[in-house]
Amino acid sequence: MGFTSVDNFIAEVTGGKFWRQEFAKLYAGGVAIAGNWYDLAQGNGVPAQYLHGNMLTNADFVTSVSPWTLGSANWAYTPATHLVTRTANADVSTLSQNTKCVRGVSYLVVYTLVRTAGTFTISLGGTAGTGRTASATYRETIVCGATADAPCVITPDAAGAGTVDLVSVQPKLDFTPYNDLQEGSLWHGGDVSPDTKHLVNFGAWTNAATGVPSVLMLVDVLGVYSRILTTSAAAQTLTMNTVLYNGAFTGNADGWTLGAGWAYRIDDIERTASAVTTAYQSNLPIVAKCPYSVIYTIANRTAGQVTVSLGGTAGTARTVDGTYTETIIAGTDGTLTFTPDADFDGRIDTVSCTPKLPRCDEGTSTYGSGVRMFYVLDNALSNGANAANVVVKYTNQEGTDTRYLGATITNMATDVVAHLPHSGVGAGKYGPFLPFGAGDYGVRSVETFQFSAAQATADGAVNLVLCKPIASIPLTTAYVAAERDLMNQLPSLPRIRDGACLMFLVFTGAVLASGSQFQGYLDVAWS
Amino acid sequence: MANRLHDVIDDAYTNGRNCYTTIRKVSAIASVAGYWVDLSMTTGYPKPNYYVGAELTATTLTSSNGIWSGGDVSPSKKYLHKLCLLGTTAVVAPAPFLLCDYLLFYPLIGMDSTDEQSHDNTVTLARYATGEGVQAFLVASNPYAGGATFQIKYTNSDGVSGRISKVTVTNTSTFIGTLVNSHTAGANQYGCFIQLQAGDRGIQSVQSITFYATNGGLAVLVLVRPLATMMTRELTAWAEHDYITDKPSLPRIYDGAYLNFLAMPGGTIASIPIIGEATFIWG
Repeated sequence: MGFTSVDNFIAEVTGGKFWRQEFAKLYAGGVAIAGNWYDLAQGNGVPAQYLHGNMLTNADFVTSVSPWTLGSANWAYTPATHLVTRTANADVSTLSQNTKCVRGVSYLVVYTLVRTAGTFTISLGGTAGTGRTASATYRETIVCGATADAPCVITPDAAGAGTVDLVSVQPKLDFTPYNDLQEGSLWHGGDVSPDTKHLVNFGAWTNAATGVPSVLMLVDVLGVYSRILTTSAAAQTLTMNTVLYNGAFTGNADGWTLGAGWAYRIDDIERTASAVTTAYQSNLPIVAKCPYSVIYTIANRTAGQVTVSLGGTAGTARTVDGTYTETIIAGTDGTLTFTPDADFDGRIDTVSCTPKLPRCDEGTSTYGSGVRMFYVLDNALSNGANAANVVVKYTNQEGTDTRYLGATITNMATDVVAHLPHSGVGAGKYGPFLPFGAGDYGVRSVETFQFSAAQATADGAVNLVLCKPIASIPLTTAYVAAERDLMNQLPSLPRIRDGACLMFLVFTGAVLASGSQFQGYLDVAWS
Repeated sequence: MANRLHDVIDDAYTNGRNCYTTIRKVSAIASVAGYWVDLSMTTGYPKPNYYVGAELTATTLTSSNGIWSGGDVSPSKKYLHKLCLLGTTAVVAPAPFLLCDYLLFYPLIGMDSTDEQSHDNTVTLARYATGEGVQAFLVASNPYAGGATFQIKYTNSDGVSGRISKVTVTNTSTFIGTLVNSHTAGANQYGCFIQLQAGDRGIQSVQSITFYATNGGLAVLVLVRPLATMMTRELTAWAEHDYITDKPSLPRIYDGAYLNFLAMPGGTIASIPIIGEATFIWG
């Protein structure tokens, strides 16, 4: 609803509708240079460090080994160094973490191994990568296997000894939506609907002279297309793929759990009237509070109704044959379920569940308006003078596809992690956001991303981030807090939506050393 | 509390439901640029806090020994309305100050011990009972060498025990009153609060602390709820904030709150008066 007056603001705040949140972020990229934008997501602090798109939690073993599982005492976590060390033993026990990776989908799996003896092999969902016998950072593409809970597992042989660090599993070119429970998101007090929440005060400072002058920008990150290769000059197709395995029931119903009365037929599943039992897929990478387009076909129905639900949020009960498309805001339980009533007799086929942009008023004519794009280096480049231009094809806020950026974008050729390589002070530099084609003011999806030349650095990649800017604050001087009252001083009261994933970008006015930190606070209130 | 601006003024100032208080803190001990310090331990008004309590045992502070806010007002609700601060040298102007409600402390933590030091939590949070928004800092109560690392084990605001903070490197300030967990820059080095495990939104209690190398000195682990940020900017010039019209937020002050400041000076604060005043209102 929003605040209707100062009186209303006072009534709501004194009624407890207020949250104050501190933050402290370290810049963790390479040496940053003046006039450029950097993404603080990978920096340590509050909120926690996060590699865009990573399906694993605590990739850097920063606070503890949790939620990783150490298979035996021959794996040990050392807090002071936050490394996990394997001592050689015939138990060949593993280091593992369950994921929500989708069976049959390719992921980029990265880990850093400091080996002293033996062989280490990483696997995903039961699909093994390459056995490694040397110290290095390894990047492997692995198609997730069928093992339940899709674990990422590092397995040594009996002689295997060494340390493991920085483990990540990222979708390749596929979109991952974010919410406020995302690792790396700054907490802002939780959901308040049907009230609306607003940023009232924003303060920030730095105690490092190299941290100023700078501009700190607060953004709501809607999601990311991860691992766009800088080593390719081809047009790379970006996707919002289904999160289901075998939604077409091709040859079987693998991946689905069918209750009593459900059975696989011929490239579909059929249900005969029975007690109320469900057909479902679980452990899906659906993000709570985010919208998904669920499509399915009902055929040969003779009685009863069936209802699809996502994460526990029910869609519409259906009683007629047809192909249905429903947008459902996902609940929390990670399942897609078809729930019949006791009478339902019919078939289900061709099921898909694809993400949409969260917090963008999906279903409205301006879905995607205000959404901006930037891309950030996932790992460093060292290509000398081999700078590339980039072409991005997207669908704008009106649903018009085949839209292109409004300017030629020139990337940095030799570059550091966390940099937005399209930002800077030279010709062809734009920051922090990519310039739209004329007349566009938002994005619904991105179709392709193409560099003009392949970069030489092996396994180089960028992550294309879609976000909505919330507020910016200039930091002029070390030790001086920049403070913004967004109700009286700069009246705007930026809205913070339920589920917003708050992260920071920084624009540097000087050389910014890795480890420089930005501290501050947000005050939010709602009515 | 009144729910209209007119009523706030009427309640607070016509009907006398306010408290005006003054602050004057002068540290006898030095500090280092960029490291946060705990002004509750400095001399002046309110009187210095020496964190007196049994070893490693959760202990509370008495509200009236902190910045005076008018005492208990329940069933009314009390808020910070206005705050002014002045630094008398450039070391504390500019500097950020953080007004906190000090909730609990665990004293006499030996920073030379590499054993896990378990805490007695017989006393629990009296305010912000779930711990949501509650933060922790480690402040030196005796000189130290620094350069060691430590972690705390705690119960988060969802009631989940066994949570572990990020590995924190202690600074080498060496001075009493300095937050040994604060830093200017560098990996594993943060601002005024100990960084919690990813996803945690606060601390309900702390079960233990472990140093991974000898650090020297004694320290106090303190749980606070940050309430308001105040920025001094110009030497000898008041920094003033009205928390209705300048920074609309009206920070809530609960009955029993012990209020004091953390500060991040640009150098040593020894012998530098920090002067201020605050006005609290309730209704």
